[in-house]
Amino acid sequence: MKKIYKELHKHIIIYFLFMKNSLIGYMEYRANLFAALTMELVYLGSKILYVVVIYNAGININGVSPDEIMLFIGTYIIMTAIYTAFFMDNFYKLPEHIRNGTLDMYITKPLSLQFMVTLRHVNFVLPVPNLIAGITMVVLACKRLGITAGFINIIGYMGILVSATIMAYCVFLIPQILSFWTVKSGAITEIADKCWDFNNMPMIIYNKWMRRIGVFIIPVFFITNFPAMFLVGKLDGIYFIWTFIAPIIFIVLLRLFWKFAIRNYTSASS
Amino acid sequence: MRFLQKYFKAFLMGLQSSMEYRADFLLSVFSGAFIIVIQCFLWTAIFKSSSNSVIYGYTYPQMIAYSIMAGLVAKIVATGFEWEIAEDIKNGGLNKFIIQPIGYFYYRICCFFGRKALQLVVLFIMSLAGLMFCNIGLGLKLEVPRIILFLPFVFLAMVLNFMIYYCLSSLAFTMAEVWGVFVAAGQGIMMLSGGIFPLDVFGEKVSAILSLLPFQYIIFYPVNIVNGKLSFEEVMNGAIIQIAWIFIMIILSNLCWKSGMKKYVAIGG
Repeated sequence: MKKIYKELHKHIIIYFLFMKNSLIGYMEYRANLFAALTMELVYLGSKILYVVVIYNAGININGVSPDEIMLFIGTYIIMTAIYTAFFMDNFYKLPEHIRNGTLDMYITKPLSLQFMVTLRHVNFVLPVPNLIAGITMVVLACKRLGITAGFINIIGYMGILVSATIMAYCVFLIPQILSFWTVKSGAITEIADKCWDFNNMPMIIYNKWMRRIGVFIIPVFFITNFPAMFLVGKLDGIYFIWTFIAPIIFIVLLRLFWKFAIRNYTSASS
Repeated sequence: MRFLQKYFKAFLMGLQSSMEYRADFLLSVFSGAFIIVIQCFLWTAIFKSSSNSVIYGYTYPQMIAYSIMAGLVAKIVATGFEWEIAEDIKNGGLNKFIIQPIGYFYYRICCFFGRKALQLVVLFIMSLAGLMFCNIGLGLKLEVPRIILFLPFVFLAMVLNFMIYYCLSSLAFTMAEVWGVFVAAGQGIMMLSGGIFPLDVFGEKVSAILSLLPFQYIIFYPVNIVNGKLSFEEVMNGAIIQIAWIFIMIILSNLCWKSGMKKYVAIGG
């Protein structure tokens, strides 16, 4: 137990150092910072366009009101901020490390390889507009829906966001691990990115089979729908149980897949 | 004739390059289909939940046809050469074009159409299949003259989009890192040209402002020709404005490139 605590403590301290390094990097290249901000603002605009379309149509879609849809899209935007902050850059870099052999350097370090490679960079720029817009939309939607900011609602919503973050890490890292075999993975990355876009709208618009696949097999709908479903009181039965079980199952699966992939790693350098 | 020969070679180079990366193209079409799927589900849910048979001025078959065709036209007109131009400007690749008897603009446009040639065949077959689905499955009224008009309109949309991006790529003369501008512009142009939603969703005022810009002639207009939303008079007026915009963009890109070339430092000797 003491050993586990010691390891955990070491990894947390190093993670804060990673964050510090990333921040220094952003301050150094300010032109990149503004370019990234501009880019993200335009993407945010296209996400908000979905809310505009729904409000202008002024109808309940499959029993979901425009305010509830705003809550779903707001949560999706918050999750996009979390994903771009902690995971996206690292996931994109994984195939590069494999292709160029820079993974060798990480293997020699006295830390978890998966931790080093998949959590090395923290993006401080891209999440900012998404986080502001997402939180604003969620607060506004809750106000219009009469959802109170009580202890249970806040803790429940945050807890499911954490669960969804773990799922986002697992679901979107798995395709990148395939690059241990394919080496070049541009198309895989593109397809995985487009899968994220399925959350532009709540899963209620899709048919029964797509919803089942999106929740239980490739759980992209889990990531952005479940926190909002909790707030509107629609997270019941099997979905509620799945909120707790899915992250454990997927983290175990991911870990096994990672270890299997590492065994197949053939260094590209000398 | 010899003048044309070298540009025909550039066209062939583009064609060869597209054949080399055909798997990449097919996978990009596959991932591009995701947005069509999302849009189709969204509009189906909206129409099912609404008591109106016309939403934002579109019937259900017209809206589904719009979603399918907008996704495909976006792929048809898509560029990508702007990254290569930026690389040429940044690393001195433009040097060889300065000393050789070949125009960079003509080289780029020939390469662009060469790369598109094979893709166009695939995308037009897919467009035809999409329209047939809307006609047989959803009862969309299809008119042959509209399909025939759609073809030159899409060709002009490709030229217009090429000119916009060619103009945009001249920013690389003044900015060392243009990737953010390219990505933002790409998504912005996609939105303003009707690649995500028909421009009617923005409301009358915004639509009127957007009609003053060239973007709607890239996706919104060609798609609305084929799904029967525009009258023949509107189509003809649109064609004149589209051609006018192409000429404006040619003049603008000429000015931008002339000014950019004065700043070009030809790195790499």
